[in-house]
Amino acid sequence: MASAASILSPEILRGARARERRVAWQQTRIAWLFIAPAVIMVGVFLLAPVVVNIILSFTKWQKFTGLDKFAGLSNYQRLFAVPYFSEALSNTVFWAVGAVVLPLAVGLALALLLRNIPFQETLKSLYFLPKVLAPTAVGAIWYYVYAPHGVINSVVSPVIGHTFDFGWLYDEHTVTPAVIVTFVWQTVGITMVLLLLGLAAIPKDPIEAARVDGASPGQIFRHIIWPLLLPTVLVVTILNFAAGFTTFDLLWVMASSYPAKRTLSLAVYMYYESFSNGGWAYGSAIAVVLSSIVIAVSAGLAILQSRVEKRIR
Amino acid sequence: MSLLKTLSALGLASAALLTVSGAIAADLAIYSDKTPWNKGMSAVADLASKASGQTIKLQEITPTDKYQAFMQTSIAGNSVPAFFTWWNGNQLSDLVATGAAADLTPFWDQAIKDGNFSATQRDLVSVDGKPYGILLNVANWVVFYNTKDFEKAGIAAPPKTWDELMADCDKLKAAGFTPFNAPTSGGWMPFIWFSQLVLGTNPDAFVGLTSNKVAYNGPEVHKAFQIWGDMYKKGYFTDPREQDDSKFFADGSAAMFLIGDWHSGQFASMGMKPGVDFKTFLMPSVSPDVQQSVIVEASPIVVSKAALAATPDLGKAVTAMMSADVSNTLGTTVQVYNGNLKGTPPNDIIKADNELVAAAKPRALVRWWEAVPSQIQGDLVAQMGSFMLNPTPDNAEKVMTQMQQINADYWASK
Repeated sequence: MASAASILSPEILRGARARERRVAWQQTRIAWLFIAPAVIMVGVFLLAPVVVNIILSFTKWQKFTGLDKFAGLSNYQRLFAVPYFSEALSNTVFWAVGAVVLPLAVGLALALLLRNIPFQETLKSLYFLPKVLAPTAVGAIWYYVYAPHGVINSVVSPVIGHTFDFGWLYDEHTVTPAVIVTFVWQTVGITMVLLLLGLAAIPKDPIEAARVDGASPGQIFRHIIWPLLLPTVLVVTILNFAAGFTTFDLLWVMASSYPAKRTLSLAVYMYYESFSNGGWAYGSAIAVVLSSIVIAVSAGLAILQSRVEKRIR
Repeated sequence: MSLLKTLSALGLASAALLTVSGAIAADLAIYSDKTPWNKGMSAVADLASKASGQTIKLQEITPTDKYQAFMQTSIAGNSVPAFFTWWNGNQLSDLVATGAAADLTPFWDQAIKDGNFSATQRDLVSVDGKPYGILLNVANWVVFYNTKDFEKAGIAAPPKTWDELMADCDKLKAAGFTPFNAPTSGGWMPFIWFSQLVLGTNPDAFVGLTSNKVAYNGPEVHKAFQIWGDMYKKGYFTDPREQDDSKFFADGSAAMFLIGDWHSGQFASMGMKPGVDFKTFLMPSVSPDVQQSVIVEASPIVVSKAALAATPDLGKAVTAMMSADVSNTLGTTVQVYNGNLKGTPPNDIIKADNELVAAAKPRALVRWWEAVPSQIQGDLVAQMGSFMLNPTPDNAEKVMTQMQQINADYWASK
């Protein structure tokens, strides 16, 4: 049988192709019209501020003036010349480690405990509840837990037999751990839910087979559950790392009266230098460094996650 | 095609909406961070609207750091609000250097001629001899005292010398009261006692600190920290960690509070009756041979040079804001006094303070907060706050060294 092309004249074919191109072009235009709002929104509200921020970090903008003056790398050099940056960076690293390890450990323990027990849905909702609160509200509540005459000290005082009014949020040794505990309290619910989803996706057959072969619960966890759960663990790690590394609201609310609050984290340091000191250009440089670290570490973890997933498949 | 037409129409409608919102955003406004004075500021905006025939609205932004950030970015972006509250001293000098503030000399000349204000008051909002602000608040810094606490401690009259003050503190302690309410809340209060003790021992050093003529770890500051530390040791101050800055004074557990007399309205709103439950006295100098000083705090409303040039009718609003009507409106609504000589002080406390200052003729000084370079005020106050939380001699040394480091770094970068 002759093909359709061989029985149609070249003019008809050319016309059909032109029509196809017109339709395709029209469809592309309509597609772009639908995509345009999202592209414009991302461009205007996400990418443009990033670009503007990078440009600002090379200016001398402080308070009202210097926006039109080029500063070269001086704002970046200043990061290493003042002690605050290194203190804020080390506190941020401490934060990131705490924000990743603690919610993961507690969340995983809860996820394993809550599987297949009565009232598990109620308990899950209960643990998830803090996540629906705004961090500023959580900060305000927990401020009164740690306040000199707050919940903790009120519990300790009768136990030790005299008034205990330690300022948990005013002491350099306790302020960061205290706020990390609050962060864990708020984050553990979502971590648990994500890990439960990961656990639910693990096939039951290898676990059953291992059990039949006499493997202990510890061995099953170490050799079957943990490797198969690793991609989910890495997703949770990326999310909590980014949240911990850029943490601001809890610290700003809870440690508002701590005199050295600027060094509590890089995000707080950035806000303090920009908004409280009017050092807009320097604040932008801190933001660039902070974002670069988060992007680099998150990208590294994402690559690791994809390799783990490939290995599992 | 009809889809394209619909989308185009939607686009045009959005553009029109943006234009309208732009026009709304460009309305004339008085920007302010002084939320507790909301009622009074709204009344000022209404009077200014009536006088100028323009619609002038009150626009509030809080907290103060967010407000300052908004103003800094607006001015850097050449989008200056028509009117906005600001601070005098160095803060005003920085602002005037941008060229955004209108020179209000003709308005001040007229106000002085009409007997509304004096030339001395003009100096409070002047930079290089030219006035750049309308007075919104003029406050003397005094010691508020709880009359019942004083009575219970057996103190018949407020102290006139430092020795008498210290003796009264002991009496108050013995009667179960903490002598002074001294919070760190709000991010600025730690400078109160630091500046008071420096100016009480050496007012010239107080002025020198703000212009790098005196070091923050020099002997003058050492002396102030030593007295401050001793007072903490004796238990003369409340817990600095309390977040409510007036709680201890209002509930009577602290007998005195050193603060600007604009605070009288706040105490009144907390249930204390001015002139009955609390009164004031001028803080005596620490050394009897040092002239008594008083901090005078002045808050200006600045007018945009561009807005005044574009809308000359705003000049009528400026004149109205310098009238006795506005002064009295502020007084009746929020118990704030802007110093208008034809206006009436809003309460007995402010009236009595003005009489105290007129009788004692102390040296009037600009508040440390406004006098110090604004770029380092936050850093220095944080250091003072850290001393209040740990008022030991060792920490005092550390704090003084760090303050001088911050100060020296700033002046070296100039």
